[in-house]
Amino acid sequence: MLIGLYIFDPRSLGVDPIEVVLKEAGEWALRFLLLSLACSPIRRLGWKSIVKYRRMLGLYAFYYASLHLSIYLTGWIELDWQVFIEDIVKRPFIYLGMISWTLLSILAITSPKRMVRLLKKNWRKVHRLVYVIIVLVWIHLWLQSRASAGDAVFYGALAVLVLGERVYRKVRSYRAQRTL
Amino acid sequence: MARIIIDTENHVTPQSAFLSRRQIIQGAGALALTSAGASYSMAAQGKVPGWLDKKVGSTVYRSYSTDEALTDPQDAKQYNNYYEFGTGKDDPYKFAHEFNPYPWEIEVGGECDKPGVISLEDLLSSQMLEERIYRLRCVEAWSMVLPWTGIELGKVLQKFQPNSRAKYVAFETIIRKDEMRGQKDAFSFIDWPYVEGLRLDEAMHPLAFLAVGMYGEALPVQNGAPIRLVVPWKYGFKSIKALVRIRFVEEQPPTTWNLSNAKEYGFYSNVNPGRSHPRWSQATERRIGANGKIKRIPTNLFNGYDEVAGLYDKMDLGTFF
Repeated sequence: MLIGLYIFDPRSLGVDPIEVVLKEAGEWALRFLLLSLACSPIRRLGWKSIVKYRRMLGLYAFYYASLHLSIYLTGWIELDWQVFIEDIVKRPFIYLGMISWTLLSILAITSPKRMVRLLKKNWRKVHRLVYVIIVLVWIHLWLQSRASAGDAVFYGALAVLVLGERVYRKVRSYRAQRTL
Repeated sequence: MARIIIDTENHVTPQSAFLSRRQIIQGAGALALTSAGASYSMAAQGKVPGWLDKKVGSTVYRSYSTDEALTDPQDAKQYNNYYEFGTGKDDPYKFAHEFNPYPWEIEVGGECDKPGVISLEDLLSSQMLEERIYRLRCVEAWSMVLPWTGIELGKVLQKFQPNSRAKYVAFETIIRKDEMRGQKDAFSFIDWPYVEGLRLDEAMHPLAFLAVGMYGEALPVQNGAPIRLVVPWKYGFKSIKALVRIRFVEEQPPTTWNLSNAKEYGFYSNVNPGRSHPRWSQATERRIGANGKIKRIPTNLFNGYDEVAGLYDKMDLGTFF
C-alpha cells in the first residue's frame, strides 16, 4: 500500500517520503514481530488455531525488516558505502539494526517445513533467537527517541506483556513443581 | 501578488549591502528594479494582524542571497521540528492553529541599561525590514533554503544597551500548555520553556537575524510566529521560535538540547561536517530543494558562512561543539 503510494504519488506521504516509508517499514516489522510473539500466549488463552499463522507473521516481520534495510541503503544513504561503513562501525542503533536483521534472516531461512524437519530439536533452539531479536529491535528504537520516548515506551510495554506471560508461566510451573 | 525585490549582489558583506541599498534609494528615479523572480503565494493566514502582514509584504530589500534553489514554501511549512506542538514533523503544521500569538510582547532584561517589555509592533515600527535568503541546516542532517523577512538581531539588542558584564544572551520560548499540545506530553525529555543562548559576540554578528516573516508573508505559527531567531551557521535548534524573553547574562546560559543530552548537543552547535553526532554523521545532509526534490549533498563548515570563522579563532571546535 505504502510502497504503491510512494511510487505513484510520493508527495502525498509528506515532505520527506523516504523518511516516512523508512520509518513505516521499520515499525511494521516490529509490529509483526510482536504479533508473532503474541501467538503462543493467545493460543494458551484458548484460540488454538492462531499458531497456524505464526510462521506467516514472522515472515511478514522479515519482509518489512528487509524493506526497511533496503530503503535505508538506497534511499537514505543513497548507496554511499563510506557512510555505510562509518554508520555500521560507529553507530550502535545501526549495527543493532543490522544484527537484528541478520538474526531475523536466519529465522526466515529456517522457517520452511523441510528445515524444521532437518533441524529437528535444534529448530526450537534456533528460533529462541526471536527473544534476542525483540530486545535488540527495541533498543534500536529506543536509541532513536529524541524528545519523547512515547513510541519506545508503547512498544516496550507490548513486548513486556507478551514476554512477561512466558516468564509468569515459567515461574508458576516452577513453584507448582516445588510444592508437589 | 508578485513582489518586487531589490537584490543586492550575492554574498556581499552587510556593510556594502547597506551602501548599495542607499544608492538604490537615492537613485529612485532611475531605479532599475531587478525582479528577483520572488513571487510567493500569499496564502491567507488567519489571525495575523494587518499591520504585520503589510509590513512583511512590503519589504523590498534583500541583503543576503544564494544561488541555491529555494525550498518550496509548502515543504517549509509542513516539515518542522517544533516539539511544543509534538515530535512528528507534521505535528507543528497540524496543530499550529491552536496557538494564537497575537498580541505579542518581548521582555528584555539582565545585564543592560535599558531593560523593558516591548510589543512586537513597537519593536518593528521603527525598523526597516529586510529579506535574507539563508540555508537552514538541521542537526538531523536535512537542510532547506529559506527566505526570511526581519531585522538584524544585533541592532535590536543594542537598543537595550547591554553593559560590560553582559557576555552571553539567553533566549526563551513561550509556555502556553493550552495552545501548545507538545508541552503536555508526559514522555517528553524536554523541560519547558525551550531555552537557547548565544555568546554576545555571536549574537552581535551581522548574520544573526530575527525573523517575523518567511516567503514574503508573516511567519506561520509552525515556523516560529510571531518572531524567531535565525542563526544560519548553527544547527537549526539554536534558532529559537516564538521568542518571549531575552536576557543579557554573565555566565553561559543553559540551553534545552544541551540539558536534555549534553553529549550529543553542545552549547555552540556550529554546523561542522568534521564532528559527527554520536548517532549519525554530519558530513552530508539531505537537501530539501525546489519541487520537493531531496538530494544528499556535502555539508560545509559553519553551513558555508565562512565570515563567522573569526568568532571561533582561538577555539577547538571539537571540544567546544
